[in-house]
Order: sequence, then C-alpha cells, then structure tokens
Amino acid sequence: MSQGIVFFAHNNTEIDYGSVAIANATMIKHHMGVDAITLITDEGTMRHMNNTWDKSIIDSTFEKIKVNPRRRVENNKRYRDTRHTVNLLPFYNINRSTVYTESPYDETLVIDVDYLICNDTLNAVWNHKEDLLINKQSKDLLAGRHDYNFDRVDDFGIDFYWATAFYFKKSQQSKIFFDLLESIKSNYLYFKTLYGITSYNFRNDHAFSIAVHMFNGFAKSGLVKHLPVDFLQHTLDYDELHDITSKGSLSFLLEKTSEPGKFIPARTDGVNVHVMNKYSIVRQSKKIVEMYSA
Amino acid sequence: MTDDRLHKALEFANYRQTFFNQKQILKNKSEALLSYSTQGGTFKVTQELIAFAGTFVQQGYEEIVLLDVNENPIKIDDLKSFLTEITSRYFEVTNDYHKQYSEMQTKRRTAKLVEPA
Repeated sequence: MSQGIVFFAHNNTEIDYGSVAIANATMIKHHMGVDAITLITDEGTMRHMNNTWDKSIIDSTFEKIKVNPRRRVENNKRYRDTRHTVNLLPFYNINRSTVYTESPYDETLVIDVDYLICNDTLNAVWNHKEDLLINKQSKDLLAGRHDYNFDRVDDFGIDFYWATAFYFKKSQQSKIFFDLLESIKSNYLYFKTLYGITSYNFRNDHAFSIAVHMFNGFAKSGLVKHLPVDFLQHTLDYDELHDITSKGSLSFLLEKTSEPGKFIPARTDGVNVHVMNKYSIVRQSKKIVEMYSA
Repeated sequence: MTDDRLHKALEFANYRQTFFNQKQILKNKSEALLSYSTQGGTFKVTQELIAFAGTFVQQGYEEIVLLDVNENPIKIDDLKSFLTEITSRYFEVTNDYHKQYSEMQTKRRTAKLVEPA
C-alpha cells in the first residue's frame, strides 16, 4: 500500500502559498521522515514557485507536482496579518474534494500548508483500521482563549470539523464520502442554508462538517473517527509566527484577549501548529527552508 | 500605589500569564505524545492502561484484546512488548515534561520563559 501526503497550494495576489508549501514540506521530511509528498497546484502558482525557488529545491521537496487548470471562482476571504492589517483576497479552495482521485497514494494524509509539522505523531495514521480520520477539536495556543465558531458551524448547528488535516484510505466508503463532499460543494448554497451557515464564502471546514454529519447518519454518532491525536493546535490570524529558532522550535506573539493589539510571547518545541496568519509564515518560509536544508 | 509598584505588578501579571501559557503548551504537547498506535488502533497511554496491561502480563497472558480510543477492539499479539512500549512512552514523555517544567520554574523573567533551550 502506497502512503503519502498531499498538499494544495494556490497563490493569491498577496499570499505565496507555494513558498509555504515548500517550507512545510521540508519540515515534514525532517520530522515525519516522509518523502512521498505530492503538491497539487495551478499554473500561476507553479510559475511563481519556479521564479522564487531553485529548481533543485522544488524537485527535491516534492515527489510529484500536479498542475491543474485554475477555475474562475468568486470566493474571497479576510486575511489578517495581526490586528493591524486586514485584506479581502481571493481564496482558491474549491478543489479539496478532488483529492480522492488526485492523490497518487492508497493511503493519503492531506495537510493544509499552514499546519506546520514539528513532530511525527501523524505517522500513526498509516495502516490504520479506519478509512477516514478527521478531527473536530483544535486547541488555541493561547490558554483561555476560545473561539466558539470552531465548536459548531452555527450557534445551533452541527459539530465543526477541521479539514486542516485528515487521513483517508482509498476504499468504497471513502469514495462515497468524497463524492458526497463534491455534491455538497456543487450545491453549497442549498447546504449552507440547510445547515444555517451564515458565512458568505465557501469553506472546506464547513463542507467537511456537513459531509461528516451526513456520513454519521445525520446524527452525532461518532462513526467518523478522529486522528490518533484527537486535537489540533492553532494560533489565530491576530497572532504572529515571530521566528523559527531551531528545527521544530517556533516562536509566536499571541494577542492578549484582554488587550487587543498587545501580545504575549510563546514558544513551542516539537508541536504541530496550524498558523492562521499566512503572512507571517510567508515571511519565515526562506528561513525555514535554509534551516532544514542545512 | 506608586507608578513603580503598578509597573512591577503589571510586569508580574505578564510573567504569570506567559508562565501559565507555556505550561499549557507543555501539557498539551505531553497529551499529544502520550498516544501509541499499533495494529491499526490507537491507545492513549495512561496509568490505568499500563496497570491493566501489567496485571495480565503478570498473570501470564501473551495476547489480549483491548478497546482503543475509537472503541475498536484491537488484538494485541504480544502483550509483553506492548506493555514495554507504552511504559517507555509514558516515562519518556512525563520525564521530558518534568524536565522542561522544572527549567521553566527557575526562570523569573518573561523573556527567559520563551528563550530557546
């Protein structure tokens, strides 16, 4: 059974997802020891990657790169670089449901490029008994800060699941799941109204949450299981990834809940962190690649 | 209260918040690492699991079926080696937690708490 990791990276006018993908892939190779990493991207992002990085770095980072045509879609999202900068930018995320057919692996771990991998705990998914694993819990790195939007898709809605990292094994069951996901995406206006989702843009977390709910028999049955570590950890886009001091060691500035715009420092060693401030990862991407390539 | 006293109190509040946060980060890290996967199942390494497995090893059992975190029944073919693995994982993680927490307790300034090791 082939096993590997799949990344999606689609740049917009400000966020260089391609560079973030390269940086995170170098971290994965080091911490998880996985070389089978496939990047799914588009022509524009690929062109920018070729202009920004040496060909040798790109070739040694990814086992395969799939360049797909980019569809014209209207899906915008607020990108924050702490509280001081906010921009409404295009967010191309509509092809996640195609991963079942796009993945070259029998067992696939899909990881968002902004989920920075600093340990090997995700290796526990390989050869798992379950066909699909996805988490519904993510802990904020700042103790005591809790965003209720990450508990449920709506105040009275279904449980929120994180599409940030999930595992699937190619099987009849997981094919049905991804077909369902495709159907939800194609009829998103209907499903988002049905599930009381009020955000105007398409969000994979919400589409996955709906699909999991339906897959669970329209109930909170827990048929869909969680990843071996049943929670992710994240920092918000109000925070900043301040520095990478050594391999696996990340320094953050976390916004105080009591004083918006002011921060406390934090440091993690060997912790996987979903960093929502994309700008701050882009700023560190060169340093990460240089550090891990040394 | 003079400005200096207030300044010191605010500084200490900052220190306490950073200390508490770093402790939570260590705790969550330990929780994540106290997970052990084998034969397609995942187990949370707890004192109870170690004691439970230990009891049956002492009674001479070589294999056993255990419910994993997803409540799937997982057949452990080599119970003795399973016990060795989870015990060593438990001590590795808790000793590391203890070491890092003890180091943190000696640091009296906010900046020192988040300094690279």
